[in-house]
Amino acid sequence: MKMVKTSMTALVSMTLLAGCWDQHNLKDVKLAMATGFDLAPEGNIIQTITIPIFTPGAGGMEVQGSQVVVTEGDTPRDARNIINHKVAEQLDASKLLVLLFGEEYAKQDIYTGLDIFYRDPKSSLLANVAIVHGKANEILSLKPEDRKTTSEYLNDLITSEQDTTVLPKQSRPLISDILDPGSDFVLPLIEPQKKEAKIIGLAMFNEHKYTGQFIPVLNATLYLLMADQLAKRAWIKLKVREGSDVDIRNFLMINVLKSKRDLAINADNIHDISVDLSLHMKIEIMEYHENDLVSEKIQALTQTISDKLTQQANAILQMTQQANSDCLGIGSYIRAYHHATWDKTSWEDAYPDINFKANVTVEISKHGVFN
Amino acid sequence: MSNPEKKITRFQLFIMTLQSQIGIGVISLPYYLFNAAGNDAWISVIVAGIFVQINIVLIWLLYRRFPNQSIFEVLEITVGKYAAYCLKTAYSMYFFTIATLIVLLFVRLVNIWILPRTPMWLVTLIMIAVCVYGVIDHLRVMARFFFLASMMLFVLLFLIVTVAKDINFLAVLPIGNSGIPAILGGAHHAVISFLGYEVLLVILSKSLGGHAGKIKAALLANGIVTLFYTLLTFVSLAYLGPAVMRFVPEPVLYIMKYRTFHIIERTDLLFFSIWIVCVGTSFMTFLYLTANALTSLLPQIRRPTFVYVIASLLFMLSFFFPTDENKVALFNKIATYLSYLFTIVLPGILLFIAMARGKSGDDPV
Repeated sequence: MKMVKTSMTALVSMTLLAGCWDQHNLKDVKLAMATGFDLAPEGNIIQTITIPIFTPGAGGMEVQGSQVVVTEGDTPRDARNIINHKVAEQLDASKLLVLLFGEEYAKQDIYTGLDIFYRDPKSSLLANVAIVHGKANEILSLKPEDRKTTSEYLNDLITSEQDTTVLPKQSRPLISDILDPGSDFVLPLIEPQKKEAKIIGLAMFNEHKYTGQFIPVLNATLYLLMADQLAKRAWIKLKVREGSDVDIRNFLMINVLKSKRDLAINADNIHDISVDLSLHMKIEIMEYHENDLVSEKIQALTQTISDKLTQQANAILQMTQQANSDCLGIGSYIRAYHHATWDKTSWEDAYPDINFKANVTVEISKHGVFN
Repeated sequence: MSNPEKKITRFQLFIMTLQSQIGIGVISLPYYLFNAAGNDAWISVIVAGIFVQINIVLIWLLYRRFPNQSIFEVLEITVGKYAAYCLKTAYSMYFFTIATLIVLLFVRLVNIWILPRTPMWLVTLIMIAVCVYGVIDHLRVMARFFFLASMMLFVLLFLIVTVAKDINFLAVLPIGNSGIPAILGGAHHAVISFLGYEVLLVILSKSLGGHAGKIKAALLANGIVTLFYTLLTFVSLAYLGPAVMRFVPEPVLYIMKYRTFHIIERTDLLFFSIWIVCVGTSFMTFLYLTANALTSLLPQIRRPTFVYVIASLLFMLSFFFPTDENKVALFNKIATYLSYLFTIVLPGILLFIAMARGKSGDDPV
């Protein structure tokens, strides 16, 4: 009798625990893996979504390319709704890998495209966000040769470049940077080419908007070092000499092993804010075609590299000031350590005029197994 | 008492206080505090924690005078039969209110975060049914379960620490910028998250060990809760930044969304599931307290009977739970003020009367 009672209770409990109202079956949804927003000439948006196509194969379900759906709508949610009218099942963006914004869209206001992702508890917030030099649609319609789907290709492209200190790693939510008045941010800028996409730089933002200016990819690594974001490796190419008979001999390639950034901020007076960014790096020579790196030459080379990098760093600072994008987050330092000044300034107006200087020093600690 | 309860050990007293306190507040605490105290929200938590420590000492002083009586028996000794009758009713209603609030906040969060389509009454039913099962037996059984549940705190702590490595300290600077009134205002909002130490009103007399050992256990429990909450608030604030905190009512779950591990993608759901156990223990405490208060009112009815009655009543109430944010906030506010009345003012007055009239636990009822 007790046995019967127990099993009855267990059965009743089971029906209660199943949670039938809230089940999400994979068979009922289409997983959007990459999506892009563009601005239509009339002002409404064009959304492109790529959905991987699954087909039963030898080892279970296999991905066979992706389906690309394009639609127009008034808002991102609206566009997604309209896509739902087109695709067989309901669209689900909780596994989204890549989120692209067309240049024109980003210049208008990037937050409008992100709102639905922040609002929905189910959505993935880890999507790699990137800006497209041109139209997001063009990139999503690419058919990459080495990957089955565009989304996978773009995701791998971005994450691999994050490890080489070319693209920033978003360790904290993007929205924090968007809304924080004390700091702006950069996002990867991608350009569609014939068969693949190419990273061409870092798009600089001012609050919600893409400024239209970007840090070229050549300077991206140095920029990220200035932002104190050294990843697994960081290669920088430098032109250290002029007019060698063989052009190749003019260049040098270094890898940054360690980097330490210091900010000296003087902000006692609102109209006279000065910031000195000093960067000390331990580097390794990766490629150099002068083959006798003895100590005197190393010293001279150290000086040359430091000078070249300082020059580049100052050029980068100038770019950010011209674009009025405080992507190094100087404002947040001023807010934290010079609060009285912060309260009195409108940081957005002040940033282009601050006296911002950089100084880079290097120390060559390795040069491979060859002098 | 017709059915003398088995006493709990000092360690179990510690665990019970800890688990009763950590609960519903975990998820939303940083948000409410940020709205009141801005960048200095984490200081508010410490202030509230110290305030609760003082309150615990007060409760302990009352207990030391009446080492073998719970608050309900103390009432009879100090204020007389009729006043005690009214106050006991008031206490049982207070405990019931907090129990309702816990279930309401819990169900609401489940509805927003994970089960938007499941009807709220069902979630309530599941929660209540499990907790009733934990409370119908004697205190020691409950304490053992609390001990098991407290292991879960380590997982919560681990998850929070994994976020801590990416925080931005600049977000909390400059310290003390909000000003003392704002910090105190924040502390006022934090009190609701510390609730649960009222259990001491009852269980101090039901535990083994000396007076000094008991107060140490209780203070240590609240100290740990304070540290835990401070860490939580600090990490949420420094991770999300002040600009975003305003928009995220459940910051702790939100930051968990950004954490993925190789085998867990939705860390927020993992956090949520573990947190449910903590809410469960807090709810069990208040269920126990309500039943206890009612038993002292009507000693002829056994406590388990009351547990069933209260649970059914709560379940019926769940059909009328408000989902409107303002109403929930109002409920929160009322509960905070009630808690001041029932955990500080009343025990304080009782202690005063007892001292003035020279009453102690040895006096006959």
